[in-house]
Order: sequence, then structure tokens, then C-alpha cells
Amino acid sequence: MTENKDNKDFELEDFFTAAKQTAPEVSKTLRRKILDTSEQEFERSKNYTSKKHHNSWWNYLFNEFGGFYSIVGYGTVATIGIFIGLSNPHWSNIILQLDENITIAELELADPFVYLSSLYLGE
Amino acid sequence: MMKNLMRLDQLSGMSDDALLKAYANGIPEASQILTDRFMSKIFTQAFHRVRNEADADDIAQEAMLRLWRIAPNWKQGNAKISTWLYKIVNNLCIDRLRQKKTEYLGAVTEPIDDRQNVTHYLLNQSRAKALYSALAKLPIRQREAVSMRHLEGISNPEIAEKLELSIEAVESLIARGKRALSDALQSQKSELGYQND
Repeated sequence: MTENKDNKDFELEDFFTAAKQTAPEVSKTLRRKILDTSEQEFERSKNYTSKKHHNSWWNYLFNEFGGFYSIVGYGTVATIGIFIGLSNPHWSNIILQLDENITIAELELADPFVYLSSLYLGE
Repeated sequence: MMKNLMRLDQLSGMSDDALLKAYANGIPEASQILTDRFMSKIFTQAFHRVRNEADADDIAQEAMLRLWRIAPNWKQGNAKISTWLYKIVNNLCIDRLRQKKTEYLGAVTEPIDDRQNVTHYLLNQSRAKALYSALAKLPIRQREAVSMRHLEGISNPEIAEKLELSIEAVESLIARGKRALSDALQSQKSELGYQND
């Protein structure tokens, strides 16, 4: 019985060998074709990625408003506008006051005895 | 050129997953290593199922194309590339056979090699045909397991992984499949170069 089973297995092995022997080898053309498709896919995905970057919504927005430098300009103007809008309504007085202080300081520097002379003159 | 060779050398030590990731991240040479690792296996798998060299070529090419396409979205650790490819090839073979309505025993396409003994060649052809015919009559799981083990040379643990079965179940499938094949081929022994007992 065992002998019969072994004999059957041996014969079956012949069939498997025959099937393997009749199977063709992988051709070099197939390798070339596979590598070609890999290159094409690689290029396609690279183009897709760069297109995706170029077509992003913020890129469209930037271009619509005249590019990066324009956006920076608009941003600066907007910031100043917001500052003016939110700051003290009398902020211009601060500048005038500052200007007065500077004038006094300049006078002091120009004539250190200015107060002194006015004192004497007053007497 | 030298840089390219060095790169290939470095890449050849990497795992399949890492190579696919490298390809997706801009190293096209990784596809060469992956092609060399899988091309032969998937071609053999396809050929033993569709029994036609041109179809097997197409299927191998299509399966690899799908691999390149999925590369950017491949999640490491989810599935082995070999298992994923096995399933893709299997599905492509089923589609191809449906399209062509080809029998499992298609025409054997290999031309006769002059160096080969013609009688031996013809005997091999008829044995191969008989085997494929008998295989086609097996239940699908048995057919797959026997084909992978004995025609494609895949180990039992790998088959278990691909078919999502235990190793014991695979062993059992193969044993039952071989028994059924032997029984089916017994009746044709004399026509296939064996003397009847």
C-alpha cells in the first residue's frame, strides 16, 4: 500500500516537472516593459505632485492679487489700517506732543542757559 | 553610472516595503530591485493559471503597474507586497480567463527546442496538459495550494499567508489535492508514458 502510494507520488512529481519544463522563462522584454511603466509612473506622479503644488488654492489667490510682494504690501497697509482703527482717537496728539518735547530738548542742547537767562531776565 | 550602481547596491539590502516607499519618495532605481524580486514569481503564477505566455506577460506587467501606482499610498505593515501582488495576479488571471473563456489547459506556447529530444518533449507536453486538466477539476483552494507548492515552488508558510489559512490547513489541502490528482491521472497512465500495473 505504502509502496503504491510512494509510486503514485513519484509519478505525480513527473507531471509537475513536465509542467515546469514546458513553462517559458521570463523574457527580458517583460523586464524592460515593467521598468518602462515604472519610469512612466514615476514621471507621472512627479508631474502630478508639482502640478498639485502649483494648482493649490493659496497659489491661485497669490497670483490673483499680483504675487507674493503685492500680498506683503497689502498686508502691511492692512496692519497699519487696523492699528489706526483700533488705537486712541487722539493718537495724533501724541505725535505732536512728542514733537514739542523734541523741540525743547533741541533748545536745551543749543543753549544750556536758556532757562537761566529767562530767570534773570524775569527778575 | 558609478553613483547609480552604488545606489542600487544600497537599495538591494532594503525590505520590499522600504523599497516601495523609496520609489514613491523619488528614488526610481528602487523599482529595478522590486521588479527583479517579483517579476519571475508573478509571471510563473500567471502562466500556470492562464497557460499562455502572452497573457502571463500582460498580467505580470499590469500587476507591477498597479504596484507602482499604489506606491505613494502604500501603508507599511498592512500587508506584504508579495501577498498583495499574489491577490492582484490571481484576480487578473480570473478576469483574463473569463474574458477569453479559455480552458485551464490552453495551448502550450513553447517552441520545440532542437536540443531536446522530440519524444521527451511531446511526452512532457502531454503530461503537462493532463496535469493542468486534472488541476482544473480540483476545488479552487486545493488547486491554488497544489499549484503554489509544486509549480511555483512557494513554501507552505508562505502559502498559508497568501491564502490566509493555517499551515496545517495548507498541508491538508495539498495532500488532498495531490491524492485527487493522482486518482485523476491514473486512468491516463498508459497514454502518458507509464506502463499499467
